[in-house]
Amino acid sequence: MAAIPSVKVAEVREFSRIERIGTHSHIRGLGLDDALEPREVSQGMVGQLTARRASGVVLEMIREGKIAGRAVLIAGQPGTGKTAIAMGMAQALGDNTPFTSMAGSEIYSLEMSKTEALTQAFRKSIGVRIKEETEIIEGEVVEVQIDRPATGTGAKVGKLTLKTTDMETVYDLGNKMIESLIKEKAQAGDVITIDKATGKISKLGRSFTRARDYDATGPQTRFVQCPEGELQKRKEVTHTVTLHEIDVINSRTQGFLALFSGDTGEIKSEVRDQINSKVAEWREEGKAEIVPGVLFIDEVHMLDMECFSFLNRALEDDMAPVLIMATNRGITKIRGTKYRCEEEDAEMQEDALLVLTRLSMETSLRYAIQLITVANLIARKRKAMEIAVEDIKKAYSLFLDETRSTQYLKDIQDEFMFNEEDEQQSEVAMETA
Amino acid sequence: MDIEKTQQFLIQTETAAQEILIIKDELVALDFRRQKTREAFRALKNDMIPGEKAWMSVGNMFVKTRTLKAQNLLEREMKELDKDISDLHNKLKEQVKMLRDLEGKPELKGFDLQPITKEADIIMKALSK
Repeated sequence: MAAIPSVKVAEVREFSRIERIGTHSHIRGLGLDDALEPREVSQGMVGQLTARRASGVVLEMIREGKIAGRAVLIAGQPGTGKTAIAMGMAQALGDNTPFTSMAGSEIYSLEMSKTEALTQAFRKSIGVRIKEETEIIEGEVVEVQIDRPATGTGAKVGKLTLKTTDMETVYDLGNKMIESLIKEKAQAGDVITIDKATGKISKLGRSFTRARDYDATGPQTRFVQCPEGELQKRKEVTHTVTLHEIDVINSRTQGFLALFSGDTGEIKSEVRDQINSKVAEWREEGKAEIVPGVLFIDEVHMLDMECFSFLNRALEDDMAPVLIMATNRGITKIRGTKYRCEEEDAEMQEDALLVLTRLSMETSLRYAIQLITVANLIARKRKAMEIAVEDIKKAYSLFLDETRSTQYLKDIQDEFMFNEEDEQQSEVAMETA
Repeated sequence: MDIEKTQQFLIQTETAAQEILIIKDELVALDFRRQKTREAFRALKNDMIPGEKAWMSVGNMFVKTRTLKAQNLLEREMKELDKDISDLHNKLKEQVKMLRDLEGKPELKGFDLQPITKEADIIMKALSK
């Protein structure tokens, strides 16, 4: 039952809002065809074929959710199209996947700490998909009949006749409903919607068939078609909100205002923990889905060591977005290596620094940072003022990083008790004996 | 050979789409019955004196029953209709999923989630301000 692959026609999006014209506003996508091959000129992108093909692959992985918590680095000379590719990916992902774009220097602000700025950026890139479901009654008003009680003190009673193209029925109205109808000024010929759960009435417009009833209508009058189908429909709407938005709404009563003024300030970690547990609860009950999005950090060379160690840790979280970083520097010393040494009150020799940088590339940043402290102690022990290469070498030999420790354990595991391999061998030995 | 494949494809998509249209018509018909049953129930409640007997049409027959019995019958029927309509809605969602799959369109995400209308309402209201 092979289905013929249908040609994906590019969606035409209605631009009903005025877009600010910027350097990258002409980009509508990555310009790839169905087989993820880049076209020479397409969707606003020109050239950079291999890079675009690679980002196409990454995009597919993002769509299938197979790449959350991983990082991608785009490096190149200024003007080679790094930001353009990121824009292309953002457009191609569409509205449903959260895409946050920021520059590395944006995290340095007086109002919030670096970790707070990064945490906010991360949480802006994780979406939560929720669904709301309501039963609504939608129809054209045929007649509204309200009877005031003769005595003047009783409650009003009324009948409302609604119709669609397929059916017509009469509803009995209670007092509250009558008041809402009067407030909405619903008359015969209006198309209205009544929310069954809340009882809220909204006018959708006036029916076309009743357009000739009056010779003149007000400027606000909107004409709509008489609704089709059932009178009582079920309406389901899905929304995707980001974790950051939920954080802000919950962190203060006027939270929603803060979303626009940008002055969110620091959000307490208790609020975040609460939200995390609530979202986890929803996930378990099947009420929400996590949509990991994309966090694009341009000029990532502006970030320092602390930021990188924070990023490392944050990516290991179970709700982490894809991190795309772009820089126009090649292999450089990470900003802050110098400061970290100063902080730890350690002076390093130039070549010691080089060795350390190379080490951190082969092992991990965290390991390199820890080594500084150890090397400092070793240097002090031999009464030197500066950390030299030999100190780092010694520290390296004393404290193993992850790869070396796993290797070491593998090598000597038979010397440990409860070694499974050993037991198997001895079992075999026993049988043959 | 291509023509055969195209034909097969067309037959499949057309059948799937026809199923969806049938379900939609069924929903309209069920809703019609639901409204009429509701009207009958209201009429009994408002106009009849309990204890008296009332005429009720059951299919093609007219039956004279006590109002209480009639009301119970109508209530039960409304419940059944509600359940049938719910089931049909789920069936409709499945059929739409199948059709979109056949047509090669991407899946509509999020519709198999449990609804959280109250919280969703609060969130969307706060965000749209």
